[in-house]
Amino acid sequence: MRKFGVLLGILLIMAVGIFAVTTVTIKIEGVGSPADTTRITNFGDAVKIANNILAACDSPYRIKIETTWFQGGWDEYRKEYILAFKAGKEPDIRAEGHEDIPWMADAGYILPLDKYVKKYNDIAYYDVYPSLWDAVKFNGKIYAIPQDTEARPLYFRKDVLRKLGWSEEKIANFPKEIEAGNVTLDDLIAIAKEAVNKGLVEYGFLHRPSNGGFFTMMYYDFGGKLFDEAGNLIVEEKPLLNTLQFFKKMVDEGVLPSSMTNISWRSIHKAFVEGRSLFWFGGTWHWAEWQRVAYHSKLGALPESYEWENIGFALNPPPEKGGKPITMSHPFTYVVSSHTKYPELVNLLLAVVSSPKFLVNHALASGHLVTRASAAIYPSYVKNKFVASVTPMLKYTTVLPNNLAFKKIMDPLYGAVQAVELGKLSPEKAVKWFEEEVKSAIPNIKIVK
Amino acid sequence: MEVKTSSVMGFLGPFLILVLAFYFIPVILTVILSFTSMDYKLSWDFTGFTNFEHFLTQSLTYKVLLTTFVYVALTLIFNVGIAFLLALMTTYFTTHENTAMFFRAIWLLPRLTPVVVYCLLWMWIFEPTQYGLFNTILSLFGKSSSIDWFSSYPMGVIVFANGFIGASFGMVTFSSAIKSISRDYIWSAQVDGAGDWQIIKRIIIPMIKWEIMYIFIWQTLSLLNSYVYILILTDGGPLHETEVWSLYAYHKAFKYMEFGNGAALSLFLVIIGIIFTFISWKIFGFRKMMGQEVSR
Repeated sequence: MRKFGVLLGILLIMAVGIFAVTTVTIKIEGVGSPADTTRITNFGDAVKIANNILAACDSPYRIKIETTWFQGGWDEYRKEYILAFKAGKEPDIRAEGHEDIPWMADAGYILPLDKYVKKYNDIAYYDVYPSLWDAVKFNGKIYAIPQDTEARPLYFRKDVLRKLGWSEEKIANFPKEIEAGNVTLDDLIAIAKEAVNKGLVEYGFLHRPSNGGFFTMMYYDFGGKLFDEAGNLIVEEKPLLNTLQFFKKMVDEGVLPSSMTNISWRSIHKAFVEGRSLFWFGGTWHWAEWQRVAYHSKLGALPESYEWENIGFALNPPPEKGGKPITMSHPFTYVVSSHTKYPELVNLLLAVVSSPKFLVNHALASGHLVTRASAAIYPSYVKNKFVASVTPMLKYTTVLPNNLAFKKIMDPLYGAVQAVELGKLSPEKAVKWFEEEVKSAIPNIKIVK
Repeated sequence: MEVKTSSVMGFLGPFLILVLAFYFIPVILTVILSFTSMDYKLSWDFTGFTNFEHFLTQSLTYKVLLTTFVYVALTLIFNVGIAFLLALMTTYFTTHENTAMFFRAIWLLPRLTPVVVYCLLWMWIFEPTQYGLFNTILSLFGKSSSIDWFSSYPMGVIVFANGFIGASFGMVTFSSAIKSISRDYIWSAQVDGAGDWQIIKRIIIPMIKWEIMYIFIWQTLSLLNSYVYILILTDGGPLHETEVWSLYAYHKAFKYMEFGNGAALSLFLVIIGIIFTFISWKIFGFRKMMGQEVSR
């Protein structure tokens, strides 16, 4: 009877041990191009590691994940979150562009993560590139974990330069010459004009046909600033005018189509991969996209060997000799809902998914760059010639400002570029139009003359 | 026959609830919202007439108003005109019913197409490179340079895209209205030596006046509120040249998350819609027509 009692006791303890484990569900939502799905599929393996850690620590919790991949525009993505949050149905973790952090933080939709970043610093965050922490801060607090980054290189066609009589050595040195500040934007226009005049290409340049960070990057390239020393949002008239004059000059010289902003993305990619444009102001992710999407009418999706043979990339040159070249990153991040019931478990999961293995997995699949120095020396990352070649560009990178009102500057800037290219306004009149638009949307903005 | 109030309510009740829930309450909410500064925080902070004062002092508001007027007027002429022509072609001029039905079915296809796909087709048609359909056709006639339709004729692009899809609705209504006209009237007129134009002008148009008014008012109100095709095709650009009132309100609400401002702009649209409806009733002699219908 006594033995039976002991046995029953052991069984009871075991049962309590088993049943004391609580499995909690963490909801994760992601967004991006079809090549970016590793942003959330990485969590599939990360959750196994997190559960092993929890088991090893005798934690009474285990994690189960539910993932959603959002398909739609950015406005819908924002709207969806607000409504989901108010209904208490928002995901615990959400992939977000860093520029959305200000309004989400300001409204209290997301958690400040400083204490968790500190907690997991020694294993997951100690070597995150410092500029990326700046991109996820709002009012001095960290509101997100950097997930990926990228650079916006200037792509060029090596085959066209060969036809222009450039030697292999000169072509190979072209990116270095740009980095050294020996090639200016005007030099690019001259090269493009020569190629167009000789009938080697249809277009000298192509740039994105819709609003995006590229136009702000060009404003930065001409020395434009968006904040004064007190941290107030400003716009500088002179760099803005120079930026618009650059776009006007490209059109006037016949190297950029005036209808640039009305050409479809597909036609643009097709023109560049088929060698009908000498330069393309693109992004690092395009290198991967050209290998996946059949833009080329004969080759379909490009083999990477074709890319290395015919396409080169470099930083964007400065406007004046000796100047600093530029690129821009648009870091993607993970934010955490302020409603989450399990902030500790969510942050453990984020620390795991921020390990080099997962960052590299995403970077190689999507053509993005990693966010940590230890991931940049990961064997498979180093072996990948493209990402290894573009990662050093991050030294010259800039980011869009984390400011609530910035969108109201970005839209008129794009409108002004579009108006100048279409010939609807001169650069001077476009500056005036831009100022009216911005002042109407942000009455207290300072325009520096 | 006496109709019991309970029977009337039984039939009307469900629809009254739907109208209340999905039409009346949203209008009330829009009115309340327009007096707040609601933004991404979704908090109800009442600010009086600030939103109205703000947009009345913006020069862009008046540009958008003018653009809306031009867009609605042109699209209305285009789609009601095309709808009437299609209805005439498939009823009065085409005697073979299967051919007419086939033709009408083709015109209804865009209605079955998802909006994004429909807009993508128009983007391809108006593509400013030599790969665009219109530019390809023009090149066959010897035009070497491509036309940038979106910047040269932005209003034309949105009128075309909206007008074509809108025409099918009027076509169906006008077709059934024309087919319901007794053939005796037409045969009598033909016996008296009336030509096609006289028959259309003196018999068909007067006899479908009610349907014309209905389509005219319906399409105007729809066009005042339509922005989806414009959003996808031009997003209001270039330089706000295609920014119509409803798109302006959408941008305020969902691009900049200024929901209070967006509601104030929408409210203005509701008022314009109501005023327009009353004016149309006056112009078309609604009361007189109702009298005719009753006495028929």
